Amino acid sequence: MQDLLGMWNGLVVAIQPIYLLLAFAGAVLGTATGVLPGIGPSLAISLLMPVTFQIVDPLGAMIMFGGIFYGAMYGGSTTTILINTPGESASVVTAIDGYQMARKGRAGAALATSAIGSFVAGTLATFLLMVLAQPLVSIALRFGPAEYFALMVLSLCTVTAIGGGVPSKAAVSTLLGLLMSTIGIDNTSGQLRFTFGMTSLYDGIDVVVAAVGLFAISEVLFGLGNLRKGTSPGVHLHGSLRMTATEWRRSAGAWLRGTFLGFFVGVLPGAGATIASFMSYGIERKVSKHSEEFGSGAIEGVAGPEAANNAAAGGGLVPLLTLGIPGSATAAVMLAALHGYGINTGPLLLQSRPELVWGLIASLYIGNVMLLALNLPLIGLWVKVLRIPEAVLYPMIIGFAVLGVYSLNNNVVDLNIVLLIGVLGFVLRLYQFPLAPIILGLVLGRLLETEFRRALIGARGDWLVFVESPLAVSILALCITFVALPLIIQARKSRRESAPNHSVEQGTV
Amino acid sequence: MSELVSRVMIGVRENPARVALSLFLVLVSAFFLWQSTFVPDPPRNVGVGPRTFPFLISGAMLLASLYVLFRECLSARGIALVEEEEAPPEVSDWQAVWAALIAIVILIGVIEYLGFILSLTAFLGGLATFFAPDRWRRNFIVGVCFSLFFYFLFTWALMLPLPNGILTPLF
Repeated sequence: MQDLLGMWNGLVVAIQPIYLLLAFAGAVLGTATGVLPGIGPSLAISLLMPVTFQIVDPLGAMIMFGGIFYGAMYGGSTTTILINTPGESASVVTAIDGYQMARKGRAGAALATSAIGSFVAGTLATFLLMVLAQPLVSIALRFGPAEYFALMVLSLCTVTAIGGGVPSKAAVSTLLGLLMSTIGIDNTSGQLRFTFGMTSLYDGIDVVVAAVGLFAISEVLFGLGNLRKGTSPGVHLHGSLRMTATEWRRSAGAWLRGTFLGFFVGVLPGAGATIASFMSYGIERKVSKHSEEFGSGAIEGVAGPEAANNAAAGGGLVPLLTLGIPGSATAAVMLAALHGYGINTGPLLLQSRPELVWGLIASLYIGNVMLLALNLPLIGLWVKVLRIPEAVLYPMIIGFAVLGVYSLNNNVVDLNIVLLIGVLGFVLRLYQFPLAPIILGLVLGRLLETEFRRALIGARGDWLVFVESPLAVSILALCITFVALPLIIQARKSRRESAPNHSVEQGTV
Repeated sequence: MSELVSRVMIGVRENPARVALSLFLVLVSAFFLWQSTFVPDPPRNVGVGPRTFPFLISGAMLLASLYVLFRECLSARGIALVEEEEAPPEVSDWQAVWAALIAIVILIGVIEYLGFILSLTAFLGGLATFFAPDRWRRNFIVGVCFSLFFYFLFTWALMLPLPNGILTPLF
């Protein structure tokens, strides 16, 4: 009841014209931020912070930053779906089926399911944030290093084992991503690893650089490599912009599953949105009646992950607002902004500044409505990007990639790395190694290693620490199920298929 | 044993590129495994340090890539394997792939010297003209518009610097 009253008070504050304007500005800026390569929401908020300190109050600033946070989640999927160039790691998994849908003339439906899914997820996540924030924090606090480690292994397993293709090749891709994450300065000890004297590798390989190389560069090489001989699959431009009744039906379940999964994963500090989107993809592939379409344009493969990454953004606000622990880079910048206003975050924030917390929660909901109203009419405009002739579009994608990667650190070394990774991605794709697990490995590698070492150091090197807690054991058991089940099913299937052949051969002899 | 060796030989002959890529991954894993032994030892009382994780991961990758190599060697002539593969993506025009790669290498090489606007205009116009030579005017106009729009968006509106190169006196 107290929460509902707080929410009502928050709504009263949030519908003031100045806050509505700030929510709208945040949604617009966030969408633009997501669409432009190399500019993540954390950079956009950092750039705006000095300005907001001068012109708006803390609530106004947080409302605008919340709009940027959600808007970037949606905007990131636009370039992923249209030109296979993910702006940030949370939308990488959308590239698998979203881009294939665009090639088949379903770009409008892919963008629509992404926008509506983001709205549904954002709305439900705001509601869940309102009612579950306090109880969830107490559960999240029970997660120690061993449980975090198990959760990340589960995320890797869902993608590796049920992400499609050959499991052994997916395993190599995942391990390659994890190995790439160990390049640079070790977080815990400060030790340099695999830098080979190159100072540019001290900070490791940026996820955006790797994603652009693996997806955009390799896609362009494939596209141009089939363009002149007319063997390019081409892009169908005449598909409807609206979702069909079947697509609505198939998306609805995926949105809901993605929302709940994304919110609960987002509550755990770490790479919430990315883990959530990959896990959602794995689950959708598992539960869908159209699992054969995954990888070639299944709408659930877009709807689920897009809902999950938006819900995770909402879930990420739980530890931020209740404990003062940022769950992501963007949340960390928002925390810095609160400190900049002289506000102490932590468990007492809700008691000391209820108007700030409830005002932010209410305005997030309003921001979601604005995002939907802003993005649905723009779908037709975005889809026109695909009408650009391929001979011009592919070089433009490279230009876009160069622009984004160069602006990350203003150096050419990142461009060389993106080219090398792009060529590697092209060759790996040519021989059917999946690329998404590389990105997931790269994103999770550092966190996985940190939790792995924290757990072992805490247990004085006792490896049984990973199977001592019931929660960690349950999650690890789930990992084994995820890995073993597809192999058993495949082995039984091939045995069934070889049995009739065998009997036919025996009959003919 | 000799049958297995002959199967492997057939696999190598029929899938040289696949075997070469798998072998490359084996060598990469082995290289990282070897390099991880140069990372300082973990303290004895803890048992885990900066070496442990990369050592374990590169070891696991070595095993996985050896399995893939073995698999690629045996996958010739329809030898039944438990895992199934989908049809691989194909490239019909390798000259185009090489042209694109060379253009990207040149772009990266000259971007700081010529500046963002000139190098990207030349890249977009040049590469698009390679694929659509009859529309060279359109291609270069698109190149100029694209590079000017994003240059001013990033440097003026977003305050993110891009290289000016030889055009520095103008901006």
